[in-house]
Amino acid sequence: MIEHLIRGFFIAFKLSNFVGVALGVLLGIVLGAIPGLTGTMAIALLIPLTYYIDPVLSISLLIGCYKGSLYGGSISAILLNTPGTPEAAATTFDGYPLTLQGKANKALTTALTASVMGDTFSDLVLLFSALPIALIALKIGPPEYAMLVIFSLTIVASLAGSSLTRGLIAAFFGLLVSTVGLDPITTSRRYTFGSIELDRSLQLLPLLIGLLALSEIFIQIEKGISGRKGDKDAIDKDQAREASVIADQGGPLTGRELLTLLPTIFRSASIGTILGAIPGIGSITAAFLGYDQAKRSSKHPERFGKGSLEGVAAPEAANNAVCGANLIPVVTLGIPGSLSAAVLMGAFMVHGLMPGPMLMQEHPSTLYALFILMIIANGLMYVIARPLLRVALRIITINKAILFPPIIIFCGIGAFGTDLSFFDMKVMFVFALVGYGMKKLHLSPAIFLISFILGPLAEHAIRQSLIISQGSIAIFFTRPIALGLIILSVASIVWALWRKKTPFAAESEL
Amino acid sequence: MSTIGKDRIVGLCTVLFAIVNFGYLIPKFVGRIGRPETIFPIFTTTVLLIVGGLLILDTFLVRTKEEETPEEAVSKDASRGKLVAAVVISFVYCFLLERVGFVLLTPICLVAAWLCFEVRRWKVIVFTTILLILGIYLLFEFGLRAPLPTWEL
Repeated sequence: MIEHLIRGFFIAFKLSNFVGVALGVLLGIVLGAIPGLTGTMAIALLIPLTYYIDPVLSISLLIGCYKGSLYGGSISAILLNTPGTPEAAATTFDGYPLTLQGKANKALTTALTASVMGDTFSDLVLLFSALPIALIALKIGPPEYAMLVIFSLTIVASLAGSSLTRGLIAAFFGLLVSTVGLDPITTSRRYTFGSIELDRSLQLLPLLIGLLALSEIFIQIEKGISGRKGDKDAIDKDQAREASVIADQGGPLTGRELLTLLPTIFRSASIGTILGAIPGIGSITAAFLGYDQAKRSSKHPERFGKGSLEGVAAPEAANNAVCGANLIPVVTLGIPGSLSAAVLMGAFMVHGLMPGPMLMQEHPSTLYALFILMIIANGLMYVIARPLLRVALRIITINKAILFPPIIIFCGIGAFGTDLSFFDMKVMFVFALVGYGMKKLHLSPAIFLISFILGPLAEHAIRQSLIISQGSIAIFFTRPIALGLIILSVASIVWALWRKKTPFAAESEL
Repeated sequence: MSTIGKDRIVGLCTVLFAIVNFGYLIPKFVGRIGRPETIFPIFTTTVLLIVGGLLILDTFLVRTKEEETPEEAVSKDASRGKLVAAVVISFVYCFLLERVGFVLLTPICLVAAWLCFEVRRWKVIVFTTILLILGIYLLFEFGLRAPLPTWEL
């Protein structure tokens, strides 16, 4: 491990990588600050543009963008009481009251410090746990892996908002769509309808851009946009100008205050890291749970909601800690547990790095370089976030009616750019409509996408298992780990039925 | 439409799709039932049939009914035209880029979208259009060395 870690250091410490990460963080902060644009959407649009660049540089740029967007969301949450990303919703509870008290600077530096510390904690856990977990994962056979994928799917589906059945429908439609193309073992055509383009299966990137980016643009347009002067968008220029002035009010976070916040940050970072490593639970749940736990453990719970620094630090540390932990199941098992992890997994796949237990065996130095760059991204975020504040505040005033047409063009060109295929553009458009329809019918496009990614892995493992057992499904019930995973899958469904009444049921990012 | 109504549509469509998939799509476009390549499609379709049925059943057991708020309905009515315009422009861009070419179709679609969204700031429109086309063109042609489609009518 040490040898690969040292090699990773040498790969990571290149000026181009630093510039890439910094650019990603910068883009992420700016895009994350704009209400309605999320980090995952930004990554989906950026992946095609990084297709021809070195994998380490491009993936670190994308991860930097994701990290930046998580902090960017808190800027408008603290200054304007409007969370830029859903993850920053819990930050408004105490961030905005602090702004009203003239302590915006303190709130912003607290959010930034907690974000960086939470993120770094989670990245360190990823750095030191990935190899041991991957080594254990290598020992499991096809039946266990098949059941692990099924377990992940059930847990992701069961955590999707309010309905287990809707989650399962989205998941199994995703699995079915993943079978389009040539059969992985017999190479016979499936659902190709005579189209040669469909022989190579539906490509991930057009699907991803259509389902996550263009469909979201359609939804936002339907919610209401107007380019007419005088028509108020989410945030107007006066509001932003005022926010830019009040951002400097009061002093920054002091060393003594930071010391008192350390237990809260550490607790929330642990919560975020644990939740991030579990499939299906995203950074939104982590932020709310981090806030809730901080309030319960605080010596002054009465200050929460009225401008408590703990109330800002806790959700920020928790939601940023999800970022690194999210990659643990991706790089060790090849299982994306959340939407952001699925999008990042797509980035790995586009660059020929197939996530799963073998990834740590085949490209250990590349992975360690990425992990190191993730930690570097946190440091860079600390340096560039504050000067970028004013730029972000100017950009959030751009009317969505001006912003959306270029994004529509980017969606089309992005889908085309990966393989220079016009067919992919058409697929992207079709799946944008599918994504829009799914959102209207309360089906999760994110679960559909995760299942689409997991589909080939699940099928391969199931088919391999059936070949080993000569067609008997008893192989899944006679091996202890596989049986344990079946029991856990059933338990997750039962828990989902019971969970309907829990307070965090509606907070899933999926 | 209420959540229950939507759930009924989803459940019904899922069940109907599963039946069509079993009876027509799998035998015609995948393989004879029982062949190895049909195992996974049959497994997923079976689950879809069961879950779709359960969703329909659930709509008859659920008592609460979530309706759309009046503000949501008003906002959607006013924006429906813009949504249709966005969908049509996206369709045109994705299906005609191959024939019309990037340099010609991109400004047409961009300006059409802005006009549909009631943007009338011509300086912004002209400046952003030129900047965007130039930026994407330079990125693809020289940065990524990937040719963009040209006029082929």
